[in-house]
Amino acid sequence: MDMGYLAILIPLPLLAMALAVPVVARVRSGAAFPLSLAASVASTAASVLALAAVLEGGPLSYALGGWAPPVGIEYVVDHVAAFVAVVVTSVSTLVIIGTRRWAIREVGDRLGPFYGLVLLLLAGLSGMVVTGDLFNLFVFLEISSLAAYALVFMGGRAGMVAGFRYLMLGTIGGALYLLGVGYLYFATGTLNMADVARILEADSSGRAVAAGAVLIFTGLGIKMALVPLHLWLPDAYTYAPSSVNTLIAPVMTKVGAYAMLRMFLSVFPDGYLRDAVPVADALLVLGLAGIVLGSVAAMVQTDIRRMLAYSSVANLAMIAVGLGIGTPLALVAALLHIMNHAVMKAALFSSAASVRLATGFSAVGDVAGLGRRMPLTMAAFTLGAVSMIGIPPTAGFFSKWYMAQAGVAEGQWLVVVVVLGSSLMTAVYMFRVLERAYLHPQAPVVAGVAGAAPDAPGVPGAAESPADVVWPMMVLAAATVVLGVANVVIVTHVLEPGV
Amino acid sequence: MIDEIAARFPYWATAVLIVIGLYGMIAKRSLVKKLIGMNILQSAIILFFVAGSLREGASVPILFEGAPGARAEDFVNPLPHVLMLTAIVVGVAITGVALAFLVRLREEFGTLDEESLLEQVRR
Amino acid sequence: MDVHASAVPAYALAIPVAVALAVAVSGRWPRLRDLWPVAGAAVLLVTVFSMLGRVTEGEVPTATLIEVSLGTSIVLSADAAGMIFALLASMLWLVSSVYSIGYLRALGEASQTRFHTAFSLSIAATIGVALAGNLLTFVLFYELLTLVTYPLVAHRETEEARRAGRKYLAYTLSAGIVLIGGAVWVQALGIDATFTAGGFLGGADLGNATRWGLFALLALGVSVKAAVMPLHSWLPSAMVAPTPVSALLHAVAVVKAGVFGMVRVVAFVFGPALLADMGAWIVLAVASGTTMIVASVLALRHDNLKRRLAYSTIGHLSYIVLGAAVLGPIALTGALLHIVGHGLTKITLFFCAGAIHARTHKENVSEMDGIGWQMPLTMGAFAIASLSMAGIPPFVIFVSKSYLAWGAADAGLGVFMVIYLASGVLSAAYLLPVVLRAFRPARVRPRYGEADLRMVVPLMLTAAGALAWGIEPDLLFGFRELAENVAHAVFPAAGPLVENETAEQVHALERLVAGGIGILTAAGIGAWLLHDRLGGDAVPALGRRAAAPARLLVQAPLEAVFTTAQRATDAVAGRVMALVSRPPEAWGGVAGRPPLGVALAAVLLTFGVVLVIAAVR
Repeated sequence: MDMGYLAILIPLPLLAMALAVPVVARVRSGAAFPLSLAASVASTAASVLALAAVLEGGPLSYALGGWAPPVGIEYVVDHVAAFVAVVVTSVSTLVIIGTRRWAIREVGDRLGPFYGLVLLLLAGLSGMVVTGDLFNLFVFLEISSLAAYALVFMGGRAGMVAGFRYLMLGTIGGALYLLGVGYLYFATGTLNMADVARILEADSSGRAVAAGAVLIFTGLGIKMALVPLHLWLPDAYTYAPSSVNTLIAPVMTKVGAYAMLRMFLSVFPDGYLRDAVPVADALLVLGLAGIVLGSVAAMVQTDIRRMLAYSSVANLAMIAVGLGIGTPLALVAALLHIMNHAVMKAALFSSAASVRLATGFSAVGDVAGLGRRMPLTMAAFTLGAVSMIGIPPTAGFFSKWYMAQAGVAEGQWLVVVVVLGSSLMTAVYMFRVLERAYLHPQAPVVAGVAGAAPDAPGVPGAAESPADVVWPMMVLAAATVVLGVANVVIVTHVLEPGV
Repeated sequence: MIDEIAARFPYWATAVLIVIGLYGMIAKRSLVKKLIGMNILQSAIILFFVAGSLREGASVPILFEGAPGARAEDFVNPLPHVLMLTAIVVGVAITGVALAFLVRLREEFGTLDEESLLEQVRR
Repeated sequence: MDVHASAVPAYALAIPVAVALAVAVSGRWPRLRDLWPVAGAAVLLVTVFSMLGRVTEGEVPTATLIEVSLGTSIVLSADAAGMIFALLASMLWLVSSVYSIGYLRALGEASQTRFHTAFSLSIAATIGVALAGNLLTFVLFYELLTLVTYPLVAHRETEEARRAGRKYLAYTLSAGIVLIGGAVWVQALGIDATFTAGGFLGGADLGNATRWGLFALLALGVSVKAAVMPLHSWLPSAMVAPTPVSALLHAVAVVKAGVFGMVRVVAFVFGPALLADMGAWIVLAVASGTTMIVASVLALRHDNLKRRLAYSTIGHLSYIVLGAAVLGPIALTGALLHIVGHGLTKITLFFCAGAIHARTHKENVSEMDGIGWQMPLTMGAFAIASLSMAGIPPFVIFVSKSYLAWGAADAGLGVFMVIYLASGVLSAAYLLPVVLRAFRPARVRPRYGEADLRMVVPLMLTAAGALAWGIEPDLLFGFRELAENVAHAVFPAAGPLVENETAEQVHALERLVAGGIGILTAAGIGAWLLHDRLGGDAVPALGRRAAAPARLLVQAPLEAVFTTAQRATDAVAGRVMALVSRPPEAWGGVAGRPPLGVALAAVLLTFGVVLVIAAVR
């Protein structure tokens, strides 16, 4: 049986519900969350089924509206796409469950639009993952970005400014990507990725192709927050509502990185981005710089969210390094890190949100003694942090392990040093939090204490967050260990056939 | 040099427009002017696509009774036009959202000057 | 080697983990909670012991757990070397779990549930290190050991404890990363990193740079936990932890994981042949030989008893490193035996220090005058352990040290034999005065008052152990047989030691040294009695006068050099970690907002590059 329709079933429920939720919510605002959850679960189920189908019978393809590619828009789910789709949809489902309470608290009167935007964001992201068409990728990119701008904008006064700046930079990214696609289109006469690849395989000597490659690289570089194009990210992640940054931090930039990977795997011919245009080298250099700069910047932050944001910059840079090395092992490491980082960042941001919304605290100095007051939240944070540092057998260790191996195999010693050294820098900023949470006496509980976000409707003195906040967080935290121990299954069955 | 520019006039025009747009987004302090810069940038890309589809002496891509011919090279490439319709929609959506942002920012801060916005946020 | 699939090593790992879980969930009922470690330790000891018979016959019970890296699994295999360490750790866990109940309750320490949980997890990690069958498994548990011991080091939650914790992390995490670097390299070379007697790198065709690079990474990675100077400075700082932590972790588990790792690296990763070919052993031998002397000299000047014991630990760890480094079968046997001997002896000393602290809150040697009359059992055990540390028969370190010293001589390195003997004298010099002070004649003897029985019984047991295994090293657990099996496997050409002429010579040496040291001891005791009779300060004054030139010539310059070296390493690792402690305000509040213009300029620049590419190419 042709399972190709599964490809379109991944973004479809999200897109449909994104349109329906704001309307329904006008009548019953309580319906927004269950409907969104249903859509997200449906999309997760579709991704899992798609992954199963891919593992069994190879890549799936679906021609939109029955127009056969390359004329019509094609949706393709191969190993890599299915993998990323499962990661994105399942992590975001957990986050949607875990942030329900915070969403009510933060945007209670606008739940309809809020969930509409969340679903639109996820629809855009999952669409980017499954599309096999360069222009369609642009459309989904802009859909997800647009939703993200609006969501960030919901985060109070600072969030408004951050949201507008994000919109400016993000639009430049989209525009540059589109321009690059234009060059490619005029060089090849097609927009279907497979078709472009076929034509470029035969002849990729034109200047237009080179220009297109560089423009696409820059455009996606902004979307994946590649240093020095990351400047939108810290503000956006810090000032967005907690229910938003918990969602966008794990998945958004990861899909940008995935799109970049797609260009390597299925658009440009083998080695083109290495030999003809130095995109791979640029990714390698910028990635190494990003790991160092992101980690150093994270070390000096006073706000946990901002610290985690800079940590994201460093970790995305590591994915870029994997693309830059470009060997199968390095690509496996990069993909594994996409998953690992999504899971652990979701755990970390979830617990940061839990801390902020239960106590009003978000500064590093304010978590003192929280290890006793909020044991489960801090346990999730600890597991996420340990995985982020890269202590075996957590997931974060193994992506670094493979990445360093790829570095050794290619003789890229700087990669080995930076990737392993980043563990130490991560330890510095993570233990700043952990030490305060566990080994400092509890901070005096005072309403409106310095460092509490002015807009946080904190309930000072609150104990552990409620169960429906805690269990998704615990699932994510436990996943950092499970995915670490089970990494070989993923690598051999899903990632290696994919790259 | 002149010849080069003349021969590829649309490309150079696009490049100049993009640079103007980026300049506006960087150098202007007013958020409205930044937004205008963004619009120029988007328009430049749309022009680039449309110019790229041009074909000397070709006709509108509509097959009608008495058309000059039925071969592909007799028509202007229609696909970029279609794409640009989508791109314009995307652009309008972004501009709309951005304008809505500006309205809210103005309500909240009473100004659209970037410096004073940041000044207010920092406090 | 005879590999047999067996689940027992996996059980051995699972038991302490289960104990940790049980402790964590029963925190509300302290009596039940404190029962778990004791019961778990007993079960663990029996479990490990159940493999002993097969291991001595040359079988290697091996549990292959899940595959965690392409082609590499977590493998737990109880070979003879691993058995020694696992037996020691589980045996001492039993006594120290009893001891820590008494200690923590006596001092009313906070967060006892966290303490016991982390403690049990540390044992799990130690068992993992001991039974690791390949490099990746070793690295995995080695890193976990760092993580789970951190809350123990910083347990007291004072600023000093937190600082010690940070220092500990800075050193051990950096070392862990270096070790991971080595493991990554081995993996990338495509070498099967299963620990093999004689070294798995021996057969590989490696370039000189690769060999030395790997050696640097792996040896450096284990040297920090082995506290080889100048990488030792975390260890004295970590003494801020509660005494049971210092006892089990910083005399047995953590530091022994380091030296055990060194044995693995020398004998099972590189192999004697390769190291001899490279000449790399010289580096290790010089570093550890120097450490032995310098640490002992530094121990002399510390008045704080735990700190003195810490420096003594540093010195004795290097006995083991040097024993591995001289690349001979006898020395290797001695090194493995010293893991046991030093573990038993040092844990006794720490137990005593903790009992004194719990009973009298005294921590400095200078305050301990006459304390032996108050706590005769404790100080009696302390005396036994001190004699053992000095290498005096019939105590356990005498056995291991005879092997070590003779092994060094046997390898043609007489200078190291001298160092071993000199270090023994220094050990006596920094420990016996404590005993002498404790039993100093006093007109008004303090009232008898031992610490809690749960502390006194364990320390007497370990002291008895130091004596029992000194008389018969093969007692119960066959430590000597296991160690000799390892040596035979690593150096097959040397033949089995037990039927070897050399062994006879070792025993001859034992008798010789025993006689000499016996005479010395008798002289010492005589001097002490005389001193007691005289009732004055004659002997200490004499000692001070004799020590002055030595102090000037040896101690002062060595101290100067090594405190400088220590400061340097502290500066490198400690400063980075000091960031952790920096209050957020010190960074001047929220970092400046980077101007959007910078990002846009970057874009513009890239765009310019594109135009250039498009126009020029």
